[in-house]
Parts: sequence; C-alpha cells; structure tokens
Amino acid sequence: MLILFYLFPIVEVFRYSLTDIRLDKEIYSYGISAYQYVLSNPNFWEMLKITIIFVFASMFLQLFFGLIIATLIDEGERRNLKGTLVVRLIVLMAWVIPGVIIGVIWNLFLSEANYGILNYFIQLLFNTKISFLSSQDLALYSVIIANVWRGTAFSMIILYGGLKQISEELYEAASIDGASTLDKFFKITIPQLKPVIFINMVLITIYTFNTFDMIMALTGGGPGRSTEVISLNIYNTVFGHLELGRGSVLAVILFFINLSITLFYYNFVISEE
Amino acid sequence: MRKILIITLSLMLMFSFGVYAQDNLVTSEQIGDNEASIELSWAALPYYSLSNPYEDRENVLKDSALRFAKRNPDVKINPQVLTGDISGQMLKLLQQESAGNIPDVAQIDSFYLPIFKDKLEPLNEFLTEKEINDLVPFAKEGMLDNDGNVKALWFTTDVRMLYYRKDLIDTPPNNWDELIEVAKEVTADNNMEGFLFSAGRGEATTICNLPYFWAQGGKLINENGKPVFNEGENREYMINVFEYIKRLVDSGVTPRRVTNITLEADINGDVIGNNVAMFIGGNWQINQLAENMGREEFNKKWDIAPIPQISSDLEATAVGGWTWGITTEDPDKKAAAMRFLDEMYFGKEGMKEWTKVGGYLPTRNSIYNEYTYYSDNPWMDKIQSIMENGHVRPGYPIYTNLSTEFQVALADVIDGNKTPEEAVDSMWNNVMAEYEEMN
Repeated sequence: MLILFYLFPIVEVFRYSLTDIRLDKEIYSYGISAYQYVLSNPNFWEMLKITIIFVFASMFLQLFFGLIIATLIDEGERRNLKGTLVVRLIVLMAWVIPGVIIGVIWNLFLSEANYGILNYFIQLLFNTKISFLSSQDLALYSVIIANVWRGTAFSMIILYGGLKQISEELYEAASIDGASTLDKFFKITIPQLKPVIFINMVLITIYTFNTFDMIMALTGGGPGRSTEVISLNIYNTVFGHLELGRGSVLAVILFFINLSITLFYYNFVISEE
Repeated sequence: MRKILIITLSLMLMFSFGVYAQDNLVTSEQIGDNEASIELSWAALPYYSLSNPYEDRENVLKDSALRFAKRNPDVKINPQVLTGDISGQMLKLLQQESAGNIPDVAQIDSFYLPIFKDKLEPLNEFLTEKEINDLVPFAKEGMLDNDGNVKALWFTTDVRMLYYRKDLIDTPPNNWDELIEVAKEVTADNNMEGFLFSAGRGEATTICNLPYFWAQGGKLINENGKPVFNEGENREYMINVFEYIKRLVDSGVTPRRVTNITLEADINGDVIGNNVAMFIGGNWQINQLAENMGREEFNKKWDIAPIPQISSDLEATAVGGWTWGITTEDPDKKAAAMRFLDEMYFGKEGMKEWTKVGGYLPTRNSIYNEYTYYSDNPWMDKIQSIMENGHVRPGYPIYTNLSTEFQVALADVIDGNKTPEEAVDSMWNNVMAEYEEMN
C-alpha cells in the first residue's frame, strides 16, 4: 500500500511525459513529442546551464560556510566560550523562515529602489547603485547569495553533528605529536567528516535543485530568463502555460538528475566504506 | 398571572428560535435551509467568499446571502473556497471539470474565461438586452462565446492608467515624446525617478505595456488563434513599443531596475517615499496608496490620466476582472444559481455593494451614474473615461506563451542584450515554435 502511495504519482508523471496533454484539453495522445520539443529548445539548455550554476555554486558555498560556522561553534564549545548556542539559534533562524519570505527579505535588502538597504549604504559610500536584481549578469549571483544565506544553517547543523562524532582522543594525540591547528583540521577533521560532507552535498544539491519559492518571490525568474531554474520553469510550464506533458518531461529530467546525484553518493561514499 | 408568564416565556422561546434559525441560515459552510430541495455548490476566492479575511466584505456578503436565503427557502448553497494563487485556483477548477465534479457556480478570472467557455452553461434567458447593453463594452464582449451566447457574468473589473504628481506636473503628458520631456524636467528638479512601470517576469509587465501596441492598432493573435504580432504593420507597432521602452531607459527617465518590478503594487514604495513622478498602475492602487499615505496627502499630490501613447490622438488601456460561470445543466439549479449571483454580485444592488466594499470597479455603466458613491467620487469619472478604451487580453491558449516571451524580450531590450528588432524576432520565433507544437 505504501509503495503504491509513493509510486503512483511518479508513474503518472512518467506517463504524462509521454503525452501531449494540456490542462485545458481533455483529449491527448501518446508519443515523444514533448521530449523532442523540450530537448530541441535552446531555452531549455540555457535554463539547465543557469540551474547548474545556481545549484553547484549554492552547494559549494553552503558547504564552505556551514563548515566554517560549525567548526567555529565546535571550537567555541571546546574552549567553553559563551554564546555558541545563541549563534546556532540565530543561524538556524534563516533555515526555518519560509522561502517566499526569504525572497521578500532579500528583495528589500538588494533592491535598487529607495528602500533597498544594501544599495543605500553603497550609495552613501560610493555614490552609485549596483543592479543586484535588475541586471541579467548579476541577478543569478544575487539569487545564489540569498540561497546560501538560507541553506548554510542546514549544512552547519549536519556538519556540527559530524564534528561531535569525532573522538577527542584523536586531537589530543595529534597535539602530543606537535600538530598545528591547521594540520589537525586538514588531517583529522576533514577526513573524519568525509561521509557527513558527502551526505550534506547530496542533500543540499537535491534541495537546491528543487528550490523555486524563494526565486519566485525574489526575481520571478527574471530579468528575462536570467534566474529561471528548472523547478521554476516546471511551475510556469504547468500552471502558467497549462502544458502538463511538457512540465512532466522537465520533472522527469529533474528526477533523473537527482537520482544520478544519489547514485554518485552511493558509488563514491558507501562503496568506499 | 401564571398564564401571562407561560405566554411570555413561549414568545421569548419562539423569538430566540427565530433568531437562531435566521442566524443559522448563513454560515461560512452553508447558505439556506438544510431541508431545501435545490442544492448548489459555489466556489469562490477567499476574498470573495463568506470565509473572508476582511470583516467588512464578509458582512456585506452575509447580508446579501441572508436576503437570498429568505427569498429562496427552497435553495441551499454549499460554499467552497478556492485556495492558492490564481493559476493554481483555475487549474483546480479545470481538474474538477475533467473529473466531473466542478462546482455548480465557479469564480473564473476573466483572463482564463476563453478556456472555460465551452464548459459553461449559456445564460441568455436570464439577461435582458437592456442589461447586456448596460455593461462596459469589453465585459459585454468577453462574456459572449463565438455563437453569441452569454457564458459568464463579468462582475468586477480593473484598469491600468498613468498616475502623475499633479503638484509637480501641470498637465499630464499625452504622448511618448511629452512623457520623456516632462519626466526629464521633473527628475532634474526633484531628484526622483521620472517614470516607473512593470518590466519584470510577471503578467503585470504584459498588461501594463501592451496598451502601447493596441493603441497603434496592433493585433497580437488573429480570429483563428494564430499569433500575428510580427506580420504586416503589427511588427512595426511592436518594434515601436520596444524602441519607446529603450528610449525611456537610455534617456535616464526610467531606471533599469524596472526589470525587477513584477507587480503594479511594487511601485507603491517609491510613491510613498516621494521617489517617482509618474508610473503605470492599476485603479486599485488609489485605495492602497491613499490608505498608506493618508487620503488627503494622496489627493493633494496625485492624479490619474490615460496612458500616453505614440501620438496624442490615440488611447488604449488594459482591463481585467472576475466573472462567475454556471456549470449545472439542471434548469432549476441554473435559475437558482442565477438568482444567487444576482443577489450577491451581479444584480445592480449586489454589484454596487460588493464593488464598493471591495474597492473594485463595477461593470454596469448605470451604477456609475445612479449611485452617489460612484457619481460623487472624483476619481470615477476619469476611470470610467479611461476604461472606455479598455482592451482584454486575447483569450487563446498561445497567449500565455506570448506574454512570457514579451516579458523576456522587454528585459532584453532594457538590458541592452537585444535591439528592438532582435527582441521582436526572438519573441516571434519562440512563440511560433510553441504555436506549431500546439497545433
């Protein structure tokens, strides 16, 4: 029953992807025309490029900042510094805020209108404004920054949990051998964290591939198509253009991308272990 | 004495039961008596329903519903609320229609009406010719199908227009050249943006900028549903639109950040902050801005005018709004549904009360003239006059793609990635690829 519950919608998406079904028409036929259309459309490949930049830049930066924050908190706890719990809570707040609200918050922050907070200070200091959201060249990076702000907390929590699993004795032994802090970080912390880092990478990547609520509120996919990622395009294709068949093709492609990443994880981490 | 006490108690009991029964006739879950022989399902958006987030709207609707229930004791209405964004709501209705359980009465965005027309029942028998002729022209036209049948009741509308700072600009510009000239002067004197409008990814961008194309006589899609905006003179009109937008940005009158304005209301912050001299907005922003700035200050600073066009003798704007459709084939249910909609939203009284409390525009011309709320309102004359040149977006399936491509092309022109000609070519190629795939 449970298998049926989970499998049925997936099978339906695959079935729809092999049709030319539109939501405003009851008659449809089977075939691969939807696949042909999507794969031969230059806008699809441009969108895939944007999606890959968005996902992998977000993933690396979330991992990087998550690791730095988790390490700092862990180190703070080792040294009995006050305030580590507060830091964890503050960082986590970004993670629990709904994506749409994050989009609105970052819009207020990055906007070039008179209420744009960052541009207000930039104008005070340099007498100019930066088109964070209205330049087709910069908008994607702005969206990545907002997504990194949102996702770093998740990454931090996973890595923090991993850091807590590393035996204190390893660090003590390394200290006796005269290892520096950097030596300990690269020769104990990173190797010990490797499985957690990989799990984190996979989860962040899949989560970011599926992100569209925040982008919708921040840029709506624009200017032009500069921030239209695949998940947002699926939404627009199905809900805006009523093209269920074509939207399903995009969903199937997204499904296989996510599946490949999961298999990558199994091959490179689980099999190694 | 005992008799008097019994009679008094009996009367009190009867009265309280009466009040209870009356109150119970209208709840957010049901209108009418449980035992009523005719049962209707009615799907509305939250802001148009009895489960309304606004108390004043809910009160008006509940009063109308109570009147209906008392006059129609044989009818029971089961309300449903359409949730999600507009496209999601319309999608839900389409899915219900496919599954055979679409509500008997459904609220449909006028923009989606063409998709629903063949799924709705004709309502000719319920409307007199006089009533139909009382409607604003685009509503009258939009409600009819190709065979001339009334398929929906268009009960509210909205319109786009030029808002300008009347304390800074003596006479509103009439054409593109004048607008650029006026905006330059105001910008230089007052350190504010000259002219703002939506140019981001969203329907507001299309609906606020297409009037430039329509005013020139441009046609987006022909009677067969085929895009024609790149054919003959239409191409020239579309290029003119993009060239104008480019001129606005290149002259410094409009900042590039308009490509991040996705809704008309996104400009409200600039208006409240005294940061803009002119903008294209919707009629509903009058109330939004007046509430935020204070009605007196808003009235002192701002006025409205038709959207300036390529030459002063041309006028056009874009209109939208909401309709009701009836899906039940049962004649008794259909008649009951029509009486219900008349009482609540479409009849003269219902429409007057509803548009007044909701801040919408009525689609019956007579309401503007016969009711003081509208006839004494200084904005209404101007709005009604602007609305006369209202254009409805073409209701063909390809329109949504065309709209998206228009938004992308506009951003490309503003960002300097494409010339106006290249933008029109790219828009045409993408729309036609989609059109050919659909046919």
